[in-house]
Amino acid sequence: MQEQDHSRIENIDLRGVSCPVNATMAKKAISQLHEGETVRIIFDSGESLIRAVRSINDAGYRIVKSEQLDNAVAVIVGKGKPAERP
Amino acid sequence: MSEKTLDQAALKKIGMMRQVQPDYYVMRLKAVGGELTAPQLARIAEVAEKYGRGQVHLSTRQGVEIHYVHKDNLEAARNDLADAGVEMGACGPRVRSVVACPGSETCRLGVLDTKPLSREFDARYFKQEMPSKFKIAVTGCSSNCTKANENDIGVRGAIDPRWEADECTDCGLCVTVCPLGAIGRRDGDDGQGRDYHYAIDEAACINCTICTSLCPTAAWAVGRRGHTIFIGGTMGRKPRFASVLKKIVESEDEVYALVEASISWYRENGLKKERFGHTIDRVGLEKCKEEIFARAGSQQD
Repeated sequence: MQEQDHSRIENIDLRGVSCPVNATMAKKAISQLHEGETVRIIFDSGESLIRAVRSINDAGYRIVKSEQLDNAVAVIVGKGKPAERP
Repeated sequence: MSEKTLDQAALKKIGMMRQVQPDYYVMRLKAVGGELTAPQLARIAEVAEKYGRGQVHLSTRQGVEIHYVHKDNLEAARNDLADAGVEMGACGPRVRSVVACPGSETCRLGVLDTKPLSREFDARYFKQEMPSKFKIAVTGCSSNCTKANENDIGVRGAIDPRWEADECTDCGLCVTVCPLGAIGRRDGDDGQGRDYHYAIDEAACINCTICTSLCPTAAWAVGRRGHTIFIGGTMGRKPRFASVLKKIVESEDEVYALVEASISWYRENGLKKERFGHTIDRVGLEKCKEEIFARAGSQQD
């Protein structure tokens, strides 16, 4: 069976998607990445962001960058081993 | 027996309050930190059936009240409860039942084991006479489920986050998840060859565990772990948010010393029916804190 290529998914906007659905959708998208790939996911700020991040951490994925937007936060998440520390 | 022959103040001392309905009383029961065993609950149910109207009222301070107990049955009901280890609560100008969240024993967010602390406060202060009603709460973390700052004394689990430069990957997650916006990324040499560092605004930090628990590389570590102590909170007719006495108290001995000093200060300075927080406002917070710290032999933050 040919594996579907999801590497083109770069941005997922989950603003307006409430907890825990945002975390579930985020983890689904991350699970479809290949090793070494990353995805940029936008969450609303606040408690649901905290819960989503906790859920992403618990699933063993790796947050590589986080960026503050207006009332929202963009998180870049990768699959696989963490990059070497600077 | 008429209402006049019953000493209402003495009854309030043991958690019994007159109802609107003549000759009927509320029995307020004690549940330290909201804890009751299954046999105790069964006994409460029996007593409510036998002497009340077969129902209970759950109070806002984790207690159980049995309503509609006739004055002639108060003693028998109290004895039945006592046989199962259910004690009466307190009303009037004295220390009320200590409330507590489940704490770190079972709560995933808990920083503080709230139960032993609340039992100790109960053993030391329950029912003691005060200028006005006096409420103590213990809450396990900054989620503040038992509302430490609405109580005359509030103790809240607290940690001091510490940045571990060597673990940090500079992802910036902490800056975006801190609920208080207390974490900042600063440019410039940190003295160890990095051109950035992360710093906490101590005044804004509420000593929760969001940064330490969410950091993907454990670059935010738990530094000091302890208790934040609040004094002078109250709701009621004239609400007042509590003041922080000390943000991080590491040793339990110091917690007890500060609480004891706060209580003795209030006993000496509080006017009759004046809540602790209103005494603090009348005297002045800084003066009050200085005197409490002097009494406790403790240092301010």
